[in-house]
Amino acid sequence: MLFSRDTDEGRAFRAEVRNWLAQALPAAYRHHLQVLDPAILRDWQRRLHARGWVAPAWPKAFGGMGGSIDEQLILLEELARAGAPPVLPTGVNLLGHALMAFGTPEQQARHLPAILDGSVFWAQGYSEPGAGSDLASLRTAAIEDGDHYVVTGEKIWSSFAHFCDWIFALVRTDPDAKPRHAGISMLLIDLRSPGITVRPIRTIAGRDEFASVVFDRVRVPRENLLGAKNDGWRVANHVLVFERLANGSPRHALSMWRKVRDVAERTGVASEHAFADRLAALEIRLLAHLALYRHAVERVKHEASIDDIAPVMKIVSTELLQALTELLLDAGEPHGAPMAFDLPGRSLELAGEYLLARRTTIFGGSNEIQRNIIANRVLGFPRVY
Amino acid sequence: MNDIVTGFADAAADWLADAKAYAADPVAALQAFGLAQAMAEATPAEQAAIASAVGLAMGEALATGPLIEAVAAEACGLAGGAGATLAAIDPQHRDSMDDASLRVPYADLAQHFLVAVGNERARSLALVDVSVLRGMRLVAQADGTALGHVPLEAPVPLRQILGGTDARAAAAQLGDLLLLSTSARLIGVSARCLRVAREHLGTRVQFGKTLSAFQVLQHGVVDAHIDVTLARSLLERVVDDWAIVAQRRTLLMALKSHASGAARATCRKGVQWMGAMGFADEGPVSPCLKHALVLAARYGGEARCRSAYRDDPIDLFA
Repeated sequence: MLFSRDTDEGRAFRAEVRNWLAQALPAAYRHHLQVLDPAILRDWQRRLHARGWVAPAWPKAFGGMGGSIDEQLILLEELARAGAPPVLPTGVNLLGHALMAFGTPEQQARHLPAILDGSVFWAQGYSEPGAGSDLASLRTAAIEDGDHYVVTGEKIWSSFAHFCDWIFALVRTDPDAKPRHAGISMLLIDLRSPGITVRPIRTIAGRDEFASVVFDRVRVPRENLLGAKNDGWRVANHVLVFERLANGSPRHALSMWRKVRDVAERTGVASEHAFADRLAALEIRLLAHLALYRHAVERVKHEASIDDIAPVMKIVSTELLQALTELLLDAGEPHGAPMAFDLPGRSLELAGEYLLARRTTIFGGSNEIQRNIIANRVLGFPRVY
Repeated sequence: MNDIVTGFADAAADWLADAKAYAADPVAALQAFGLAQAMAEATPAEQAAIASAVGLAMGEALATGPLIEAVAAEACGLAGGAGATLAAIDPQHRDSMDDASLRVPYADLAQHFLVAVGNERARSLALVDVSVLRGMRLVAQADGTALGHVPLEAPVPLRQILGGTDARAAAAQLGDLLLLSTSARLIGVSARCLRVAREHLGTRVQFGKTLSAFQVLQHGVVDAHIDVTLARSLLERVVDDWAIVAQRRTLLMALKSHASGAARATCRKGVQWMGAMGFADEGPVSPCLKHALVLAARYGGEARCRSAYRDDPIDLFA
């Protein structure tokens, strides 16, 4: 891969991954839309887990691959190259890290294995009807009652919650706390608990991708508190770091670049000068993004902070992805804006890809919030809203 | 390798801060700085790191003159042949010296031009004595320097200093180093513009608060910061991968295209952020924009480099 020279061990590992993917990744799973059928997600995660590669960044002590940074990157690159489905990120990439950092031994023993093998899917319960980017204003209340918390309120825009089994949710445990984020805790909640209503919300792409989760006096065992009471903001920020890193990966843009190229060659648009020039401009930006990503990896290798470039990567990767989907539509333009477009051995949803990509600049801390973070924390400008 | 870039950039910045000697006699100053010796002793990858570091420092200092051209010539072992008079380079590959024209930066400072002549089969590097050129016209550039435009209507006497395979390799190396270091200069200019603009926005008060407290301005600066961060990362990666010759020129085309576009956009925005002070010639940002315009056009501009990249793109999944 560009900007990455494999060591002898790396070359061997890359060959091992590539060979395994050639055998283990069904053709029907390759280069699919960014959201898949839950059955496919579970099946793919099961296969990856059986090979020991579902959580490359997790330590072996917790059942992860315990891979070096180079091995993690190689795995990521080869999965992207093969067009493999994603692993649902909320469990492996987000909650898993929080459990390892803040969970009790009992919580770790109970939840981590089920996250790895995909038998339990997790939803993230942060946003509320009245609290989006301003997360600290959340109002879902958790009131202590003996050995339980009683949770009442509503979470919204929870990705995949309609087919998830559990949810990790930020709740208010001290309504009078100043500042507001000091009164927030993180609870692990079984979505089958009495009093929970999950309502799927159809996205602009016509899919049930996220959901509203209403809590009506739901009793949650006190042992399901993750981290200390009123310390949920710190747990959430720990999760957000991994979320932003994952969102800053060039993987999705790389995958989209290949789709654009394939469709344009199929329709003949690739030979048109104006199109080729626009694609070259985006390719050059993608090259620069790959360089920045490699730079971040080097810093992580040396245990240096990437706080200053994580929001940059999130902005670049998501806006690049969206720009590529604009080109994808242009590439398929002789066929209109079809929901289905056939390529040899697979089918793409051109309009669906375009519509789905709208979410990337909104989720995981909107790009406007990322720009605020860079302005304030990197450039030293005053904090404004 | 990035340590070399940083170390040399710091040293070069200190040196350029006291640039009187450099302005008076760039080549002699270059020798005094020790770059000639450093380049002679460096590996090709280290030469790339040094060239980019010098470029960054020059850009940040808004220094002009053929320093990077001289550095590139040193790296290619050509300075000895040119002696201390070398001051300008035209790295374009041309079929002959009598059917084209020369366009040479800093031509007014030169006693000789170093040119690449010939074709793919037979190429040589040669010196042209400025005194024998007829009809050279100096075209004033936006940054105050001069571009020499020489119509070559008659054969020009050349003094070959390198021929055959060596010349082909040296010409390619020369072109690569010039693309690299000119890109670095553009990034240095962009960084300076951002620094100056941030200082201005942080102190200028309007409507009862500093300009930096307005979100619309913050986000504009953030976008420029992102472009420059990407350019800097690409520069460092190109230097790190210098030894991979097969993809070097394509990466350099991508780098020069991106750095040119980012520098022009950043400095153009810088003028806007500074308001009337930005538009004033005496303001601190206008020289940044002028330098960006000149450097962006040198050795291939944003569109031409992108076109060259498109002709030989990199397979991102190779």
